Amino acid sequence: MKEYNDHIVSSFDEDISSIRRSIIKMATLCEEQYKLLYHIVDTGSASTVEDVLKNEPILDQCDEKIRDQVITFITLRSPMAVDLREGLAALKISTDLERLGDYCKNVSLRIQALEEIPAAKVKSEILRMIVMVQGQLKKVIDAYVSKNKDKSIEVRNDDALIDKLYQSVYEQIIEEIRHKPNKLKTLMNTKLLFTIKTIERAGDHITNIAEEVYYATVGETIKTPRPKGEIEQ
Amino acid sequence: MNNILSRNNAEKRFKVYGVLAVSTAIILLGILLFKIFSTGISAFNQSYIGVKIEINNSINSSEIDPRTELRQQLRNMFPELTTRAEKRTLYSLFSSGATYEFEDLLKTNEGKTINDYYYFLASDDVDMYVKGTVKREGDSAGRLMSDQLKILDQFEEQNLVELHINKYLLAGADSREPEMAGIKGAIYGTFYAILIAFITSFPLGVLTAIYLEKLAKKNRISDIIETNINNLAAVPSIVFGLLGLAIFLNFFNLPRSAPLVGGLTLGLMTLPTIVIAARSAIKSVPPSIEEAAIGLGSSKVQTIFNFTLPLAMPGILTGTIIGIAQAIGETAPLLMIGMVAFVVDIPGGPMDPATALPVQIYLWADSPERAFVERTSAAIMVLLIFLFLLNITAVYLRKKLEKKW
Amino acid sequence: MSVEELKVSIKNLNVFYGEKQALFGINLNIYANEVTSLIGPSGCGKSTLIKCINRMNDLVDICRYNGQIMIDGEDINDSSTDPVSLRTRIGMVFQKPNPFPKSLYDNVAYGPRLHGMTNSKEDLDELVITSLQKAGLFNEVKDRLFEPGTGLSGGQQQRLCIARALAVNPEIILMDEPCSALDPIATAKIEELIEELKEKYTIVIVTHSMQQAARVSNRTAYMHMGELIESGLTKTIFSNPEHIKTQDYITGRIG
Repeated sequence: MKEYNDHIVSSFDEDISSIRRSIIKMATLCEEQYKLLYHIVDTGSASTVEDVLKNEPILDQCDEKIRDQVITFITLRSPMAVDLREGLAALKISTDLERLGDYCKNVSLRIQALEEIPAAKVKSEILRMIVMVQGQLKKVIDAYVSKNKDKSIEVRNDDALIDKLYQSVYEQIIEEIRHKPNKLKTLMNTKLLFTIKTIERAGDHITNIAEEVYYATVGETIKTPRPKGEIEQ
Repeated sequence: MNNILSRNNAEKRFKVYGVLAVSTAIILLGILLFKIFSTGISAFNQSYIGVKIEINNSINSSEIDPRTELRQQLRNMFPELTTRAEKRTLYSLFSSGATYEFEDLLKTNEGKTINDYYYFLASDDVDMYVKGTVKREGDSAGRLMSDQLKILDQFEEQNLVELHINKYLLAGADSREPEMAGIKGAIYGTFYAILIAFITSFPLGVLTAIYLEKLAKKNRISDIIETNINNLAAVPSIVFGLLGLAIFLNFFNLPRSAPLVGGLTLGLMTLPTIVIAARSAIKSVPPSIEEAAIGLGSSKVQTIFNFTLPLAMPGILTGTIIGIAQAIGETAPLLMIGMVAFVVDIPGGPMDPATALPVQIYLWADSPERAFVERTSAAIMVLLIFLFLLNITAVYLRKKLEKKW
Repeated sequence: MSVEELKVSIKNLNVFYGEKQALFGINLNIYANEVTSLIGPSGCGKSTLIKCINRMNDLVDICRYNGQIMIDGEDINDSSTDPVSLRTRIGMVFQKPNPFPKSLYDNVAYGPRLHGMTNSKEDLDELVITSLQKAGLFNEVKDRLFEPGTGLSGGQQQRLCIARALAVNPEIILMDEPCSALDPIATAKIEELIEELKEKYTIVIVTHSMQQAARVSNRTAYMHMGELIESGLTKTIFSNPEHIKTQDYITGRIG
């Protein structure tokens, strides 16, 4: 981690710390939501869905608060270079975190609305996807806290694994549809397709966050293109 | 609380001391001026005695000896005075200048006849008595003896003793006779001397200041020069007189007692004052103006003459006028170079022998005649007025030039 | 693509005031028709550097320097260069506006008159008017050209000083903190003026305000304790400088 001197005006450092705390708080809340999501996919618990829905507006509030904090920071401090990147990164990260929260809510509602319980194999794969997303989220938060550019590169690269897993689950669900032409089952599996797409998109947003952490720390965008898993056919 | 009280009291005391000091100075100054003016004002009047002049023939001034004729006219007024002593007493009431006045009268009335009372200059003893400076004691008054007084009384009874404006004081040159003594010669002498002093010291002083302040490198040598100039300003003026004596009179053989020499000596004396004042004025010109000029491509010399000098002029002029005013009042150096001579002619130019106002004052103060006392004060008055005018000029010039700032 | 033309090239410049060294091995390129700003904390040598370009430091007895300063490829410290004529090619505007105690007209006309730049009164009049127009001052003062220059407001006085500098037709204009004595609106007017002037002139500006340097200049050089730490395009210096010292300065971190 690059060690910078403290600002001469200590309240400047305070402002930055405050923004970072807000991000970390929002990210932690996000982690919570995905933990609940795992439970929902695993057990289908309705009360857990309720919890997710209750937490969702708090995430929105966090997003607004961070935006206000950053605008004030830019107006009053005229930040330059690394400080400006810090503020702008916070803005973008909070947007991505808000999206993550949104996706979590969408998936929770969709799972709850499924007509039938999905096939055991599919279900375990989906749970694995969620675990991977959780892992990525934790890692990217760590990268943000420790301003570690290498960790953020790892997160970016590891997204390919989520893509791969998505690809595999996708094919499995397609197989299910092909072999079990039951109307209800087909309806459920089709909904599942959208659901796993949303989870894969969540992984992409985490990658966004990783890239923002890298840019804030280094001052340049990552030069190599994002490694992508196979595109679905 | 105690602190504030004692502080306020200290301030009040300080104010009181200040007021006391200023008042003392004003009072003393007032006393001095009052004394001078009250003594000197009487010198501007002079006693004249009226004489009946009757000449019934057409006047041909070349044929009349004014002295004899005047005496004849006097005898006509006092036919009872017959002895030589008595006649001399009569004549003694008049100044020797009366003869010249009578001569002028004859010339004015060339070809005419006269029959009227005309006033002629009285002697200084009469003047002192008439003005009341000298009081009657018993039979005599000052140097007037009883017989003189008797005749004078007769004139007074006929109201023939009057005070007229003293035209000799300002228009005439010095004289042994107080009643005819004037300071015109001294004024001219001072004028020429100061003019030469100014012409010598001003350009030289200003250019020296410019060089020392702006152009010379700052090193040990310039430091030494600066110290020496400052010391020169404190040298007693009589030393400059000796310098003038040695250089101008002995070495260059310039005419003695000439305002030229006096002027050169005074100029040397004023030079350090002007250099110091000019340096101070030049130093106070803000460098920003000079920087701007140089930034536009002015050379150092162009900058100095286009900006520094005009802006420093108020200060330079003030310093110069102070120096000149000092020089006007200097007596000692002029004594050394001989401007102390008794000179009766008004100098035509700087090369003619002359005396200067302060020297004139000194000479008159030294004279035994009583009448010179009031004249000394009168001359001091003239000198003071001169200085006052110079100072007013300084203030006016300064205000006028400062406006441009 | 405009070709970058090198106007002033400073190589290995060391400046000493007596025994004390003020500038250490400065290497800086200044390009034509651009605004280059010098930033840095107080006492870092910005003003000293700028004054080397028009040899104003020659006026200070104890100032010595070695190194090379080339303008259009010619060494200005060469013995054949006349500092007085050098200064007609380089105009200078100072921190505190310093109009001469003369009329507005005479202020602007001083330079041309001094160097005999015009042949007739009409030519001189035109030059004065043009210079005042270029400085964006003419419309405000056209009916009081013969009033003293010191009667204007601070911002107007500074523009008068700029007009005065422009009247001698310089190639380079040096500005030593020109706006530090002015209010924000007057400052903005001068910045707008700088924007217009850079089409024809090369401008070097010393400024304490990083925001001003960021707004106004194409290139920025950061100086610290007599050394040139970093120089480059303004947008790079302020968004992602190479040197940690530069970043510390622009983010307010020196301590």
